[in-house]
Amino acid sequence: MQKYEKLEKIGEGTYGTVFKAKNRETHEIVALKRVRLDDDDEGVPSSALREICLLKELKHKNIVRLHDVLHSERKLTLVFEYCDQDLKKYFDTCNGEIDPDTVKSFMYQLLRGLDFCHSNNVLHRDLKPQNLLINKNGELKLADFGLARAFGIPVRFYSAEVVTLWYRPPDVLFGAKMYSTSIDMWSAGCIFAELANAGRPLFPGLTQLPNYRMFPMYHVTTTWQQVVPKLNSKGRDLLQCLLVCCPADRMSADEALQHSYFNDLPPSARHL
Amino acid sequence: MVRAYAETCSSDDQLVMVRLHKELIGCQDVLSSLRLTLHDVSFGKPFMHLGVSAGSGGRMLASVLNGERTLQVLRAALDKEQQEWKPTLLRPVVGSQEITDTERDRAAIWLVQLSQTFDFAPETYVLAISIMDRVSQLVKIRTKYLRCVAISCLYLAVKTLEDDEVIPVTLDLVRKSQCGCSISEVLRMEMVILDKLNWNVKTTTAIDFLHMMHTVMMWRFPHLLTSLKDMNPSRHLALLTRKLLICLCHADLARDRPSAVALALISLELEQIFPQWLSLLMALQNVAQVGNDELISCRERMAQLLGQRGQLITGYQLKKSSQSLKSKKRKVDETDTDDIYDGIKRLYEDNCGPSDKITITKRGSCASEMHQDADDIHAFVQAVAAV
Repeated sequence: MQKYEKLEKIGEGTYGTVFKAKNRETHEIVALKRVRLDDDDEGVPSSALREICLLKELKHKNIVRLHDVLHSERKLTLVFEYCDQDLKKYFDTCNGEIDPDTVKSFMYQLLRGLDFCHSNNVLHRDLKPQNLLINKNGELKLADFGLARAFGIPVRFYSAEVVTLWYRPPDVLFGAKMYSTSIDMWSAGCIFAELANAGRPLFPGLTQLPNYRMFPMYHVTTTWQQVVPKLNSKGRDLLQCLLVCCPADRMSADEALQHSYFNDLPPSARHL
Repeated sequence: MVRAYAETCSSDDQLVMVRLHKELIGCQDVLSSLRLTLHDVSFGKPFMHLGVSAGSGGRMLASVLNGERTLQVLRAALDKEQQEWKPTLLRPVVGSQEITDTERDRAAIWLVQLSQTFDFAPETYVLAISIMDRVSQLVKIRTKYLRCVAISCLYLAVKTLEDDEVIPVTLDLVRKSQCGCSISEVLRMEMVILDKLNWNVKTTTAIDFLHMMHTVMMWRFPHLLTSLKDMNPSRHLALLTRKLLICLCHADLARDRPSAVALALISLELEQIFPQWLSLLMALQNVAQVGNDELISCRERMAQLLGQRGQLITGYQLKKSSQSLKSKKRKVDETDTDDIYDGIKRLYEDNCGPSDKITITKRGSCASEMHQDADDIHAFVQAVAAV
């Protein structure tokens, strides 16, 4: 670990502690995700192994870059590019106000990162604001691929215990094990609404079957305009295309990128 | 959806479901998009092939997994293989402490058996065997450590490809496998292997190539199997998968390029079902970029091996012409029961011969024409060139 100088603790990931650190030689700032190996007898955690395998292949500007993997007898360290904060923290600091251009830019980058994953046959399966990293210059990157998996042919039945409940699509909430890229598109829709409402989650309080506890969130007569008042009509249309219950009819990432909502995206945002 | 689901639930559950759904998304227009079918919420069936003619379950995913996309993914995988694959070296025959081919094969068979005990997917154990072969290229494995290496390779493959609820705890794996090594030995070996492979665990294996090539073939030739009795794309792929496992448990064939192995296997099957198989094979070969010499050599050795095991001739049966006419008429009713098929495990049971394997499927032919001719192949070559 001499190569990096630890600066501060950033947070706790799904399977380890994350530190901000500096490369002693290049002075590059990185994020170190440290995984302890001596906690149990399971060796390298499967989530860490999957994250490493998948991120080695997924090199894209909207996906967090894995620089290196270091290991010693007792711990494993994943060296990531450093990002300033996650979207959740961004929501906390934005005082209930995100301007429409920023919403559009973030959504565009989220979809572009997702489209790259999907065209490389990878499902993220845990999209939520905590797992989207934001830089000060407005870049957004997908992170935490601990639940991600490669999908292929033939289609097999996968675990339904994926995606944090608030962002889990109804088919998977009901226990569907046959899903594909549509699983991430629902989460993307939830995040879109949350962005438009400056950090108010769309379906908070959703819990799982059979011990479900539902909050009556929206009355039957609620209109989309009431759900996302600050979003323009094109944005509402995109949101409706993503929040479709039937997974087959849910819009794909690459279709969503072509949606007319993004027609007036500033060129600067297109290049982020 | 609520209705369809309610039919399968007890009365209490019904209320829960209906209430849940009403509360979940109350908005009127969202509710109107509620068109899930029972198929979309199915449980338990482990295997489904997405042929072009897939039923309602297939429709769900057809938008993301079509033939054209598969062809692109196949191309990318072939490029990567071209860059990364290295021909493997021959092992010494006798007189050293290193493992021999026979020992390697025994370990591979053991991994397949273990995987069936633990209910892992075929992709998983093929990856395990591939990791083991790559490790044996990088380090000299002594015979006494082979089981430890093999079980660690399997564990790595499982962690990489299987979902968490299927991954056994190390203790279970060590105990049930009777590998004769301790947990700490397995975990230490796991680290050594990761280090040697520089954490590049996942590669495209022969089974991945087989799946992709098969899908591309079914995409362009949806009627290829329609003249056969009791056959559909999933069944066919399951048959091929079983044969592939036999091949990969043989060190000689495991030395070939994974894409060449997959193509050679497909060629041996095509010859049995399709008179103009050679031109179709050439079209596929053109996609896969496998050289003639490589393909012929691999094919011959494979034919010899499968012949020795009595597995070369699949025993396809042609439909009687009256049957095929009838099935044409029935096609509308039956397409949605199509293709969900649980046969892969059944087919892995080694002892049943080809004729007594065929028991289930109720698949209606969706053929509108029975013959593929040379024009189709020509169109295929053009389509491939265009993508």
